[in-house]
Amino acid sequence: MEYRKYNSQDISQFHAKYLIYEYAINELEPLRKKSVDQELLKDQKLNLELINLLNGIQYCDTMSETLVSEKVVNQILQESSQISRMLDRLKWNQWPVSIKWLLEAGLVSICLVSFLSLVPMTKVINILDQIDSNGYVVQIDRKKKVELEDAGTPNQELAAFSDEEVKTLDKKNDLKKSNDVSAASTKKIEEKKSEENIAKVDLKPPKEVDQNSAANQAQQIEASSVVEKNQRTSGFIYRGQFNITNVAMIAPKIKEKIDEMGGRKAGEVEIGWLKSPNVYYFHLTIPEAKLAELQAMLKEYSPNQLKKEVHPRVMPDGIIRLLFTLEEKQQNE
Amino acid sequence: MSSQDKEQDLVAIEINNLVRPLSLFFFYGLLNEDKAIHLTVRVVEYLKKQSVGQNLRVIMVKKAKDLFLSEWNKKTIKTKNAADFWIFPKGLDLGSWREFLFKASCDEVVSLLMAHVLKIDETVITEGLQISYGTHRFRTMNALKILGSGTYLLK
Repeated sequence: MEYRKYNSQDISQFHAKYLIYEYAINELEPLRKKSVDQELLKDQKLNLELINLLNGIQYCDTMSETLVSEKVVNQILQESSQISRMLDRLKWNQWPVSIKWLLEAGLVSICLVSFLSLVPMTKVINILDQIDSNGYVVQIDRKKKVELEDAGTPNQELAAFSDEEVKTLDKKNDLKKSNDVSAASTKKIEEKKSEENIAKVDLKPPKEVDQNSAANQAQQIEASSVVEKNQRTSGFIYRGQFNITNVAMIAPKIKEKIDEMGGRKAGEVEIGWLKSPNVYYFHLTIPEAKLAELQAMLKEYSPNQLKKEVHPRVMPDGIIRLLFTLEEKQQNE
Repeated sequence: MSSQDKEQDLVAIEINNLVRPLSLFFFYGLLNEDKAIHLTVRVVEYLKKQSVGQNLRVIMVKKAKDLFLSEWNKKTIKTKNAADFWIFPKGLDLGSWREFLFKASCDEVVSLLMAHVLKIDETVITEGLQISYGTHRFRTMNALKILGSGTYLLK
């Protein structure tokens, strides 16, 4: 290659940068080479580039010494010859496009048919059916009303297991409320007669307690037995509040009587605990058979009565729980 | 033997002589032994279909570059059994070359491999790649700078 004659001072730094490759591979004419040498003395970056080029060239020269084994060469030549022979015989390239497409479509359809014939589709379907049959279908009769268990009177306070405060009744309406409760319990009996085939209870107009105390007491016992049937899943407690004259003298007697009956304390405090001045607290358990006897004894001192209420604490069979207080009767009453 | 048979024999010999540089080109360009052999087979078959009298080297450069470009983006390195097929020179560190492949572009790698590894004539390269001398040298220079910055003088 011939280069035009030039002045050695013509070369610039930019020019030298792009001649560095020819300088590295020794293809520059002597004058230009000399100019590049002078630039190399001035510019360190150019020197670094030259070193990188020389490193790269040396690395490539090493790579070019790589030998290929005969195994590879023979493998390549054999593969190429086999494929070319097959294609030459078939003359695939000379076939029209429509026939090529037909052949491809035929091949795909053959593969599909063979797959469907070999794979047992009935078994696959049966397996899928078995997976689906694990689900259950439930028939709901919408006409049938869902019966809910009567858990007790509404708006009822649920007492805790430990000693609890006795419900404070209104002193003026004590009698009326007790009569109302008895009437309500009898109404409940009427509502549940047809379902449970219970013997009819004679309904009497509400009377004063003093005149029909025995009849009311019998009704309450029957009501309690009916409630007991309906509330087999939960327990119950007898609550009451008795206003007694000279309660300080009477309370120990009642406690002694309870002890004779076999009563035991049901909470943390003893039977007949003095809760506050002139208020005695009784929280106990007694045999159910002794209930009537206890009620009769309490009747001697006060007209009030024990009421049966639902409670989550379930007592063993034959044992009942009572919680009542004895208070000093006020002189106004 | 007729002249045609002689020419065909010469073509076959030339093609056989091109197997080695082709396999080196594809192996160093992709660092995948399976692809190197497969692509070399494809180029060899392509060369065999060419008519007599054509410059097989130029055709080889063009075809090799086309196939290399199609596989360039799928960089799956596999050199587990490379030592069985290629005998590497002592002291050659393929780690530097691998780093270079990640940094350089496809055109730079092709120019460098063809010029300095396969030692193909520049005229054949430029004719096969359909680029000018200046472009080819520019690409080669850039590739050498990248490669040289990651290597050191072996001697």
